[in-house]
Amino acid sequence: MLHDLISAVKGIGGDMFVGKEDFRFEVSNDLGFLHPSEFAIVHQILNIGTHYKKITNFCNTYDIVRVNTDKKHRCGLYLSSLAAALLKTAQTFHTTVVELEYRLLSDPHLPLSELLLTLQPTAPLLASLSSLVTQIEEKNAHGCMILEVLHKHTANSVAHVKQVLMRVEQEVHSVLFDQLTHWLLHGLLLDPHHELFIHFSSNEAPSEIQQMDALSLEGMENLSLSPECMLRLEMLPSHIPLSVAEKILFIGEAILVFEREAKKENGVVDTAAVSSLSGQVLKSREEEFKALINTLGQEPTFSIIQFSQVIETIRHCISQELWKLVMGAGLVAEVGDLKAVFLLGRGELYQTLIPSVTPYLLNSAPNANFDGLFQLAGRQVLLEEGMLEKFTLSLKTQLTQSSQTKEQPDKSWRSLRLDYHAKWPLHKLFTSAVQDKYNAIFTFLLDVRRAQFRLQQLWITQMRTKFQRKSEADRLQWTLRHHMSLLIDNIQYYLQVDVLESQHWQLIAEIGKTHDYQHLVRAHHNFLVSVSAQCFLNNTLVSNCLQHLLKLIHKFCSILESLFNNDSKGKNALLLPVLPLGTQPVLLNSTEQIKELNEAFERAAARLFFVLSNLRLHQGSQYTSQLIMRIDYNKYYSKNTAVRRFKPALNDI
Amino acid sequence: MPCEIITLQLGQCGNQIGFEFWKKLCSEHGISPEGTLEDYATEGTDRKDVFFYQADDEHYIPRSVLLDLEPRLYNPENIYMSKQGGGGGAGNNWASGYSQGERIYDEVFDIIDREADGSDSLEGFVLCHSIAGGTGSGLGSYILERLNDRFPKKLVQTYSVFPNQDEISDVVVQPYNSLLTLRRLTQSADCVVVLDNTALNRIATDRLHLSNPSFSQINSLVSNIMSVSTATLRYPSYMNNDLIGLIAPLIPTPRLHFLMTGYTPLTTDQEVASVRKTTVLDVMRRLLQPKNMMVSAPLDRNTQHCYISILNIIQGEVDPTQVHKSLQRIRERKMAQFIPWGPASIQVALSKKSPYIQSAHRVSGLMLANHTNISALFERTLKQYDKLRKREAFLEQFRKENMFAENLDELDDSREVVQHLVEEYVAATTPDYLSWGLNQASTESQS
Repeated sequence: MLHDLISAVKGIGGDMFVGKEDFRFEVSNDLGFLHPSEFAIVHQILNIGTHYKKITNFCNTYDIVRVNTDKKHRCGLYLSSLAAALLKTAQTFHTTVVELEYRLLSDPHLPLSELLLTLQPTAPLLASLSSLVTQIEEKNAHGCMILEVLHKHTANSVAHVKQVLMRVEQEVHSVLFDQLTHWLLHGLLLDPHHELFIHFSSNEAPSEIQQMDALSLEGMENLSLSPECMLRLEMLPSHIPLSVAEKILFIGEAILVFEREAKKENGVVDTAAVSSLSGQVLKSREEEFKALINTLGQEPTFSIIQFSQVIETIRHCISQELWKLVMGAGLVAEVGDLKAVFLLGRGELYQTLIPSVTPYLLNSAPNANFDGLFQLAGRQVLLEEGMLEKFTLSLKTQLTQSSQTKEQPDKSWRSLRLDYHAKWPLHKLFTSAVQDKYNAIFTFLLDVRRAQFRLQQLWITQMRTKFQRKSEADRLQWTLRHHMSLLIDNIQYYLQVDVLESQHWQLIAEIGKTHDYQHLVRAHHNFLVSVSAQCFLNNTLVSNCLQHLLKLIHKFCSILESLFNNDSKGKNALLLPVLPLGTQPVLLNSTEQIKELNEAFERAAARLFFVLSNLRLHQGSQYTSQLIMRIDYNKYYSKNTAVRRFKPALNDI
Repeated sequence: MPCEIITLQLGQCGNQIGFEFWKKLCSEHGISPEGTLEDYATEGTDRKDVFFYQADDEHYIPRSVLLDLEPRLYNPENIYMSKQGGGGGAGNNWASGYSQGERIYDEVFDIIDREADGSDSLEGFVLCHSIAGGTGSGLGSYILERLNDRFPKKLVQTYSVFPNQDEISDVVVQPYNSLLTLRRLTQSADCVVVLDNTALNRIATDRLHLSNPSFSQINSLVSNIMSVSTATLRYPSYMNNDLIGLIAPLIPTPRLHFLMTGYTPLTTDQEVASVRKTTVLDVMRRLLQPKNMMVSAPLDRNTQHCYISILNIIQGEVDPTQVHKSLQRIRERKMAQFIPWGPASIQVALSKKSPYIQSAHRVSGLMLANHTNISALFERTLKQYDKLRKREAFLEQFRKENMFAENLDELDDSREVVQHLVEEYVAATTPDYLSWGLNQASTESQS
């Protein structure tokens, strides 16, 4: 009977101790060999057997890395290394049992309690291991997640069990370290079973998502990362902090940027220069880092502090190298170019572009060669060729969706999009997600600029008619135009000086201070965030106000433009039945319209002032008060809005 | 290339300041006296094309037309000189200059047309002249009127030199000339930058400690103002890229288009060290001080004179965040008084400096301001005119010309226009300026 029991402990059932599906054993006491008092002892021993059987079963299933033939059993490096480690541990138990068997053979009167006594000390370990195995199977844990389960288990265990588990953990971690070594030092992702928390994603899916939330700034988290490599958060063990994982991702990617794409993008011409750079990124310190990771792997305990430190050391080195590379590629000049074109730093370019693009957008000719016009304008203002080539202007063709596009040329202005062709290695810094942010700001700035342009053009027409008309209507046109243009000018000065120039100044200062690529990325990111915030792009209340004002201004310009057009044609006005702007006939009621517009504009301006003042009260942000001061320099609006708000109150009474 | 500008230099004074202006532009753009680029200037991003065009042989040639009714030492290509020779000229007589303008219209406008055809998209004309002499005032007035007809969509800006009140002029009919020119400046120019010789001389003596300032010293002050006020056009920047963008915001209503200028730091070489640490606030504060203004207008205690608009062009190494702080300080301390009838502000344009000219000043600034007190200058002209007119002095010179042969209505009309201008400036200091214009209009249409 004891023999049967021992073989049951080894996992082999017999007639008396019948093995069941769930690794349990059933005692068939039909023959009545067992005294009831022995039952308890037998059960305890059998429990140990159950655990052992479970473990060995697990080990046998996952022992070898197999090609993924059947869906039921997943396979992977982590699983198999765990299995191997467990098997090693189970070996000690196995020897204990074998020794016991020898003793039983030599001493047939060995009592049942002796069996229990010998096996009992191994019970906690086996129980713990078996619950580990159960958990892993239940959770269907895979890859790095095994580490998490294992780590938790280790942390919660004590004494001898803990030591054994630590050994197991160390062994499984070595798989991670192995993968990381390849990734961190060579940018190689050796992960056939998708076990690591880093993966290459396919290119199409994410880019679309990024376009969707281009306007919201929350999506900027991963802006420095290329769409190809991504973190897989569900695979990230919870004992490795996200920040460390991000660093790991960054390092490997950076190496990819250095070594692979350098060759790809620079072609044959530059290979000499590039390869001299690329090969050496880590060459000098490669051995050092390898040793560091190795020592990590040999540590008996997994210390997250040490781990992070090593990662940080490597990251720092890489980041500095990247910094050198990016600065060598003329980052500062490039940022300047972006500001010049995206952020309207070169006013004369848009001064030329706006009138040349206008007719095409008015007649909604989406097939027009906008880039050609852009390049032409650039050449006209003698923009440097090299700078011009980097940008293309196009019309995003969503026009087909709305049928009313012909009446809304303003909309198509908003669909103008600039593309910037960043050269290696700057393309990691100016990804398409970043360019979307730039474009959002660009659209707003262009709208303001265009309003300013149209108002200025009106000025000269008005100036020419100054001594022919002296009516109230005329005076109103002048004052309204002047108010509009002052407001726009002040907003423009705010945007260009207080926001863009200042932020750019700060960005350049930041770039000058740091020697770390990731700091650069962050500085640039901060630059974009604060610029969009200070353009009020994220504040719907203010931006709605601004949009409304701009709309009124464009309306006013359209009315006056057609009015003056008719004027200059004089008596031939009748021969021109079609007004070029597609607005309603304005000849007769233009005075009325302008009166209305004046009302609406004053109201809208007052509202903007009111909204901004409220915002200043609640948020107290500096830029809000800057804009207020620009608009309200001689306190005209603060006086007038006070009066305006007082008036309706009186009427109510 | 967009926003090109043609400079017209009229008469002795106009040609002198024009000459200084071109000298200054050439040195700022690194263009040698032969019209070729200096070796150090080939890489610049500056926009030479605004004021120069490039001939086939790559030489840079100023877009300028030099007009004079008396032959002088000049001899460049683009020049119109009266063929009458030494005996002719306008004789410091507005009427003579004006009527000669009628006679030489075709020839002059042939030159201007040719120059205009040579530019891709001409934005406007800048006219340099004096309002006191004969050619600059008379011929200048005539050309102003014709430019409007001929180029209705082009801007016309003038740099007009007003005579020095502190010294006795040898031109006795100066008040007549000034008044007649002022009428054209009011009616036909889009923007007049007033250069007051009185103030310029005072600045030269008081601030620059020149006991007897020479013409060229004064003119270099003027050319400095002209070059800085066009700096935003010539150096690429985010705003004020064209003439209209520069002047339109300053001019709220059609007739109030006379601008004062101020410049700082005004220093002689000895004082250079003390201004080295100038800040943006220093510059902007000094620009608001009357002693730095290039227009001398006595304080009028009856009227609360105020700024209609201000544009500061700041050059040098400027931390842009300082601009806001300076604006705030000026506003808190109420250093500038603004009109009560509409929004107004100090606009600040940051502009680049020529890299080829070494300057000891870290920051320098030019102010273009529309200030109601400029009416004092016109009032002075009116007073002097009235004095002369009461005595019917020197009128026979004018009667010689057709325009004044039958009657002197032209003088009376001009006086009314200038008087009206003064009144409008005074009215602009009051809150109900906007309706003032209307009353005036209705009374005029009744009469």
